[in-house]
Amino acid sequence: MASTGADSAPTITLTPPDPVPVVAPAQAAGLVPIDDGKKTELDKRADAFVADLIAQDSASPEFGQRIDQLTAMGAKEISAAAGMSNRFLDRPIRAMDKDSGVGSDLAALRRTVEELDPGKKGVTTGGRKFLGIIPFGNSVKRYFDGYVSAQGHIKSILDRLASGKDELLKDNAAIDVERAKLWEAMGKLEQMIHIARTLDQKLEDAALDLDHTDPAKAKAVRESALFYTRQRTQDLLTQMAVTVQGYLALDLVKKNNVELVKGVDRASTTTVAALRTAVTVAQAMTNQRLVLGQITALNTTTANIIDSTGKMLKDNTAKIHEMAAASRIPLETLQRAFQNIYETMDSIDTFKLKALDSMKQTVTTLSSEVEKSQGYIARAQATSSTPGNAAPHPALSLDGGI
Amino acid sequence: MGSETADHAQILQAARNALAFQQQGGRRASGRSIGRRSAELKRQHALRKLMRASLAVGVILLAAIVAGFVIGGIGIGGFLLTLLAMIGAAVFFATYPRLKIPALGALNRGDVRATVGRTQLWLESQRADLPVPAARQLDAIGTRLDALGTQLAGIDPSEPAVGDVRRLIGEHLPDMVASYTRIPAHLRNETRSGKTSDAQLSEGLGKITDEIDALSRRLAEGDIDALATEARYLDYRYGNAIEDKS
Repeated sequence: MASTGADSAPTITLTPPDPVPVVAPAQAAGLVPIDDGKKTELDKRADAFVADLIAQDSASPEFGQRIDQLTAMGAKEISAAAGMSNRFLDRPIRAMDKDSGVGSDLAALRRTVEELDPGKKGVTTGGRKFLGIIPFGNSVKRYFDGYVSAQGHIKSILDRLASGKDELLKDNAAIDVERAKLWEAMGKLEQMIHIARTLDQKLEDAALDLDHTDPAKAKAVRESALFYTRQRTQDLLTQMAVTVQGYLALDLVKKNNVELVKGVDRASTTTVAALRTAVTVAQAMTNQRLVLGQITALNTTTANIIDSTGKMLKDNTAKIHEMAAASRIPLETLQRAFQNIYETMDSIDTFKLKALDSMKQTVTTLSSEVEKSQGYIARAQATSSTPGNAAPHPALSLDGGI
Repeated sequence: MGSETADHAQILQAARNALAFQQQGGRRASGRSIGRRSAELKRQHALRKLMRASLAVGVILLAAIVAGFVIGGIGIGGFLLTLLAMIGAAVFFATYPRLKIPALGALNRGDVRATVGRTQLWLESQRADLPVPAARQLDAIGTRLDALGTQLAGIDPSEPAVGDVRRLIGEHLPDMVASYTRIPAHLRNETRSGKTSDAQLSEGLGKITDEIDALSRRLAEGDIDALATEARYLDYRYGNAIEDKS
């Protein structure tokens, strides 16, 4: 059996990425590392704030001002991260649309290729028998003439696929930039969460100390300072969870694109490989010189593709040539080449089906999480626009020298 | 000797006056535009005035010539009358209509870029009433507004950041200044809950300056991202960024 050449191409496997899991707020913290130096600095700030708060009379406007500052803590970080959440929800949805663009090109390619399929055309019923039955030449010649007329069409489809691939790459570049920004936002949220948790601990301790000396102040600390600190911690954690999920979703879209790019590359190379095989086979069978100028031009561009399939194509060309020339059943080689195209396209189809599924699932979870977090964000924005001392205390803001 | 000490005293006094004058903002304090956009508005206004004045002078001249032909010479009295009329018209049209300083409520109408110019004009009119440090801050805001106006040129007006710009420079900034100028001058130094009105104004203007910077950064963000994306794309397309993925 023809177990060489076009046959030996490893079957392509495109793995659809898993859908993004729901990230619970409790798990969200700690995903982005904060270095120890920064941690001690943040701890110091929290210490300073608590000392400052305890020093005030619990009924004075200054005390109230400190509480307001607690309430506004992290509002900026939350709204910055929330501003990005709309965009990362947008991405997977757009990615699903883009799939269909590449998908329709692939479908067109498949239709065109099927028309050239030697099996479908009835050119072959097995090599020798075919030669025995059909008068020499003519029908085969006509079959190979089909290539010449189809090559322009195939080339335009392959060109479209190449630009579709560029789109996907550009999409990934944009995702990289967005992810870098999200990572930064997550780092800030993480620091705010650290401050909030440290404050929680310190305020708790301070309240315990005050129980003996100044019960009224201890009560004020518990009922206002500690209460708002915990509320803010919850807000920050919720936003963090959504942001982490968005970050993961972007990765999903990116992986999806990478796989699709691989599929497109592979479909192009297998198509070109089949056409080259046809050229060789035509020469072997009918001594017909099949001139596929446009395809030859494409071939060089395809061979330059960074992907390994390009290399595979180059390596195999020599083998195909050798085999097709030597084989007594050259049409079978051609059949194999066509089979390769079909396999690639089938694997892309299955991949897309699964990828679409996980994408949809991700969009659903993400939109429900984003919706849930809207409530918290609304609270954050409401506090940041309250008149008076909405500006956070310098100790509670990340702008000051971090 | 005595006259020399008097000279010294006089020189010192002059120096003190000059210092005070410079501290008030010097010659720039009056009439100087705080931004390019308001300067442009003023220039256009002056140009229009010049046009009107020269048109009026031309008309009077023409009328005098026609009258001269009709009645056969206007005589020295007619000539003087014409001259007087021309001077009068020139003076009148050079003065009126005065450049209308937009009303506080009208700042935020129409195009955002027009709002920038109008706010600058309005701020200039308020500048004299403000204490020196605040007036300096206003100058800084003026230059920032120019930059912001340029940035706004290529931006879709439905963008949320544009709405923020509108609110900030069309409402918050003028409201801040207006509520200060409404306070009688002798009460501005009084301390209320730890702060004088002057200090509060300064603080508010500082916040607004920061916010304009932040808005400007936000407006530029799309372009900064686009550049980063483009660079990353070239990495993917012509570099080897994808190889570690496949």
